[in-house]
Amino acid sequence: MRAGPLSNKKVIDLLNGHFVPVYTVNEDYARLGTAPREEKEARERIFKAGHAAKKSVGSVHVYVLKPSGDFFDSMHVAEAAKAKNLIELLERSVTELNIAAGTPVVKPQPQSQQPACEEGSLTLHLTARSLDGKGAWSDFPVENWIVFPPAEQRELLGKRDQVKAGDMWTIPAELSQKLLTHFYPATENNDVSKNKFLEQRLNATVVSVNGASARARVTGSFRMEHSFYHKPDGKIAEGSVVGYMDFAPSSATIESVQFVTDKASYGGGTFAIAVHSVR
Amino acid sequence: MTRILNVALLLFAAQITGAELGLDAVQQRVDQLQPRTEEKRFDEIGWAKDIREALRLAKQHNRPVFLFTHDGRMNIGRC
Repeated sequence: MRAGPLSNKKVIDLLNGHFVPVYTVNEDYARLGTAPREEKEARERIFKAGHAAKKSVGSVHVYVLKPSGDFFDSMHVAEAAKAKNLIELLERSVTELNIAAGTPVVKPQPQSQQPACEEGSLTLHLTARSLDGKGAWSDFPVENWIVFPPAEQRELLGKRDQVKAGDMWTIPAELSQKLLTHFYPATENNDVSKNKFLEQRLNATVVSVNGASARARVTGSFRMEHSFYHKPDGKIAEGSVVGYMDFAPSSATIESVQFVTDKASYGGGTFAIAVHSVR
Repeated sequence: MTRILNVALLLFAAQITGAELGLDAVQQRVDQLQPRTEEKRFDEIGWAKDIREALRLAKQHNRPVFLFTHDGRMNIGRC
């Protein structure tokens, strides 16, 4: 949907000009999901109203509700993913509900936002992009946010208060895995708890020291089972990593990080990862 | 055309081995790989934060609610 109708100018204009658009994540609305109880109940009421109206109802669907909140119509994602179908549903809703055109009710803003975190945390933004369209979805790049609180930064820096050029250490496996588990291209399966590392390592070498600041070159590799769908399929994401991190040894603070994959492959295709710090 | 050019640049950059990648080359590759505006058109939509807010705004502005329920995390593309 995101790469299809939700990137279509006519759909965007219809949604912004006539509707209040909202999306929900099924995992959050599941019984043990993080959405508030009132949210889960609100969604359940929509599903029940759809059943009562004998319309299509499911967890991956589009729903249109009247301004009153009453159910109006719905469409399975397989149909709604075709822009023509979705435009027809939206235009019919506007006509039958007699909705005047206007400006967006909610100001558009980037949906991928840096997560809230403990003060002094290192926040990394990751972009994964299929390079050849093989073995993975390639409509657009995908993202992740990874946060290392202050205590973990000290671990990333090898627990050293002072460094000199040439110092080397291996980043603890738990922390390198925390980052590398997101090193895969766009797939249907995004449950990283299912990933299985066959090997992984990140090594740091201090390449320069300038007063209170130091720079380390980081190199490493990963080989990880990651299924495209949720059923095990034996597919492997693997590659090598290179990058740099600038840090203040005395305060164990990482000031800047930039990592990329050198070569990376998955499912018969190639992909690339970029990681950079955001303060 | 721009997309083809960008992918070609990325494929060319991928030919440089890790051993040859200095800081400038890493920074350049990080920049090249970032999501581009045309890949984030989804962000041009004014999304309400949740269903209850959407219902409240719908009543207030006399607008229908468009709700998309999905698996994964559409905001980061992992869906």
